[in-house]
Amino acid sequence: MLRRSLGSLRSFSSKCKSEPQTASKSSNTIRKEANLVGHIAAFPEIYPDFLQSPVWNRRNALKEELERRDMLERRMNIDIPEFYVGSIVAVTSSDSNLGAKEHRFVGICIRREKEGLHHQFTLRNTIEGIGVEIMYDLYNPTIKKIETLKLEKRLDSDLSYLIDALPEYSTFDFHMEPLAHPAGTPIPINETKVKLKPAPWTRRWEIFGCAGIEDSWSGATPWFKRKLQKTKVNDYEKYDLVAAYREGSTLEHEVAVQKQIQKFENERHAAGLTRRRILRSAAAAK
Amino acid sequence: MGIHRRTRLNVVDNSALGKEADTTGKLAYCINVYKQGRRAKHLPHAELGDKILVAIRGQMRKAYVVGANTHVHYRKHGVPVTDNNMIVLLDEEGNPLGNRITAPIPTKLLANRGNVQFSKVLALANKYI
Repeated sequence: MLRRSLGSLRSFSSKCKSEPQTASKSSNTIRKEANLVGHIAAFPEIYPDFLQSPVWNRRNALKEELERRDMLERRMNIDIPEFYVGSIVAVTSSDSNLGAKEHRFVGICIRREKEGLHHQFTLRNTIEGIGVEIMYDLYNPTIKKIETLKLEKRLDSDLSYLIDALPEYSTFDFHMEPLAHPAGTPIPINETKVKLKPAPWTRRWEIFGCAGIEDSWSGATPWFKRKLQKTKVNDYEKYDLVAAYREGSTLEHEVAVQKQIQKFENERHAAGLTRRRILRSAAAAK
Repeated sequence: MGIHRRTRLNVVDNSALGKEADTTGKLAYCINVYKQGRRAKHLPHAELGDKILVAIRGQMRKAYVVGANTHVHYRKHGVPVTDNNMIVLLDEEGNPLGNRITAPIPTKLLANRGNVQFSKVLALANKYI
């Protein structure tokens, strides 16, 4: 998202009559380098765990480097497939309490949060009419297997509103067959607009402007509608380019991480220990 | 955000008392948590498998928490979080009031098998999540 906005700025500057060539020089080299390593365009979405913290004073190069090494080691032991918020994912984790010693949960991924080794994702499903959410740490060693049953995206990058939606929108079959995604085709976007249950809701969905909710304003209670004029709505933040730069991922970081992953993969492949690939993109595959 | 004093709870066993509370819409609510808190004179939050005292239809009953709606920041890896708080009622002797649990319950509760009272509750469950 950020790079797209920066890219449009760059194209604007090239048409600009003042031609600030010195400002665009460094970006040209990074673009060239990105092409050279075969940079995955959707890197921030496929690997949100390899990004930097949006809070700048939590960024620590040494910590990130150490965590990245652990993450790559883990990814050599378990196949972590590509999935997005909105994809249907099955997780098999070991559970000492059950007789089978393992527990499988299927659900729609509604959230992906945190960077580095602490990356979390949440699955949601409705079981016997009861909405259930399970948060998993992506790099927790108790996870035995992660499968993407259906690779798709939704209109939003956070589907927390499914808790207030009708249960049919978060009901998925546990015995669902995995649907193969044809390689090289873009990730399909599921444009379902969910209907919310009657208010009260857990949060004020009418002010967040979620694209995946059908008419949240008319469902809101009159009390909250009246309260809107006293509410601080931060909808102007999407125009704040500096904030987007601060919180988003930079091409420099993505290229550096991708190079590191490629180097790690090549070393392991050369050693003949494994043939597992970490860097994959269903949309960019040939 | 945690089960505390006045938190409303859904009864998920098939006892007549619990069904009555759920159908009339006058839900049971927590009035005490039988747990040692960190601070003296402060009620701790009840979590999965904790015993609480609830007010239901003008009575006081003890109950076990078998499903909790935990805040996003307090969730633990692999522990299921249900949309409602779910309880199973106990009678005066500490035995379950109903004879079946109608909702799936988290496998994490199976870790409390050693507790004699709680194992009676677990014996009523027919599905785990």
